[in-house]
Amino acid sequence: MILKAENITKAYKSSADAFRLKIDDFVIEEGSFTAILGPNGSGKSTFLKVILDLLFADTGHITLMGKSHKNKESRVKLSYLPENFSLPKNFTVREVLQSFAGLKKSPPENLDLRIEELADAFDVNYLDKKVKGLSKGMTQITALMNTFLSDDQFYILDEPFNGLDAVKKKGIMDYIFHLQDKRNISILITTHILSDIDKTCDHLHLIKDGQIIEEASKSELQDQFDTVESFYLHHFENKEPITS
Amino acid sequence: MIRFITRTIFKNKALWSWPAIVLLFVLAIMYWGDIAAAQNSYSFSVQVGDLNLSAAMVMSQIIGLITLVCIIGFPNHFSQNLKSERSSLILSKPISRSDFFFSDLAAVSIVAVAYTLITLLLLAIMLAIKAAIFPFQFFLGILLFLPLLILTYYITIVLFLTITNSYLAGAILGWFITSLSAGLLKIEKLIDLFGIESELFRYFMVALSYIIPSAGGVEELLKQIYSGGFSALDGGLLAFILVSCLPLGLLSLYIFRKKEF
Repeated sequence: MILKAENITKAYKSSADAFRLKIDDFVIEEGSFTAILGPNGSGKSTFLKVILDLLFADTGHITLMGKSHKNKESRVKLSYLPENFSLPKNFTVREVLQSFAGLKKSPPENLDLRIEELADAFDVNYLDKKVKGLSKGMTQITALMNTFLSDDQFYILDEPFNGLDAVKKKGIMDYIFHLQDKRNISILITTHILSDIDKTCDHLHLIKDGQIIEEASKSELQDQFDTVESFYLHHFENKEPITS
Repeated sequence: MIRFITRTIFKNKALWSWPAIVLLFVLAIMYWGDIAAAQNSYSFSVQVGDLNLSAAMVMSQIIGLITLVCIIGFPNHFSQNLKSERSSLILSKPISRSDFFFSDLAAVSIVAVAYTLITLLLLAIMLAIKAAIFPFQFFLGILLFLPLLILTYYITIVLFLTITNSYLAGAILGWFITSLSAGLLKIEKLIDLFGIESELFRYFMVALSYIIPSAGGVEELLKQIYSGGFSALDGGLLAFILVSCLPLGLLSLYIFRKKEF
């Protein structure tokens, strides 16, 4: 088992709109592709940050790669792409990748070659350009390269396709499939763009107001709904008639 | 982690003003001034026109400027790393909050020592060319105590940065509070001077002098070295400086470990 979260609660008391995350049971098995879907502010990113101990849960227990998520060793084979990130602006893309790879306990052997390979896979030709000169899409690709640079087992991706065009998105998805085939990696993803994960996810969790309201496996989903979008809309679409 | 932070700090252009200031000073003295060896082996004097300035006076001005550059430049990377957008990238790696904190202090120390070495190299060239002297104790004193002086300010700045999440508030409050240490070093005399008789106030101020990192103490140590070399060094004062760095340092660590990103 890659991840197990039990009885997690996290409340924000100071905000005007009080928010409470409440996850009773959440499991990710090895080699799975799991998505958490939900509207803005439903608690997707908060839950991911709680898993990574960036935010502290009020109650509950999380096991990550067989260890408590409070233990830094639990993150040795994990990579995380936050929805909002800030790369050092006066670094080149290559320097960013080299520097962040150095933060891992065992950076990839032959790092420079690995960077070149990844640049080829992601069609990147701006390795020596400074981050401050990159477009939104280029910065996102750089962050994705940083996420996939190390040979990890578990990848947590928070809105990974922000600012990417269809061709780039397909390239990234192909790369993820390639990694799943090659190393049986596990993916936990959040996204707003449902078509991105339509045929790839084998587990879906719908989250609303901090609570998981529905979960389904790929086969369950295919039995009842044609697409992830239908599944999502079935639970979230405002059924109130629009009145003028 | 230390390598990452060190690389980030070396790319901070504001800090390049430190060697630039020293280089300008050295070039100015080489062109317009002169150096005279002092009677002791650990000092010298700078002559510009009719002015004869002691090494202590000149160095205190240069170190004042360097400290100002450091107060502006050093907190920049820490405030960037404190932002959720950056810290989530760092802390999702197998790095604990304590690793993050201590690596930052280590990286700042490394960069401060590196820039101090550049400073000493430039000064050594100037002294060798102008007076053919090498005041070893003077150099050793600066090498040991200039980075310590910067760390006394940095510890307080980190505390206020962690509390306020604001670069400006961290730098200004850190500078202001640490600067008070010079007054606190002579607090007994100041209390007598102002005729304050309250024992409670006296105890409070003495306690405060142990809580605020004593930048004033480090400046005092440097003056002792300029005037009498390492034999004049007050070991008790050095111990007091090191102790005074602990309370706010440990408080910063405690708050940092409790911080959510």
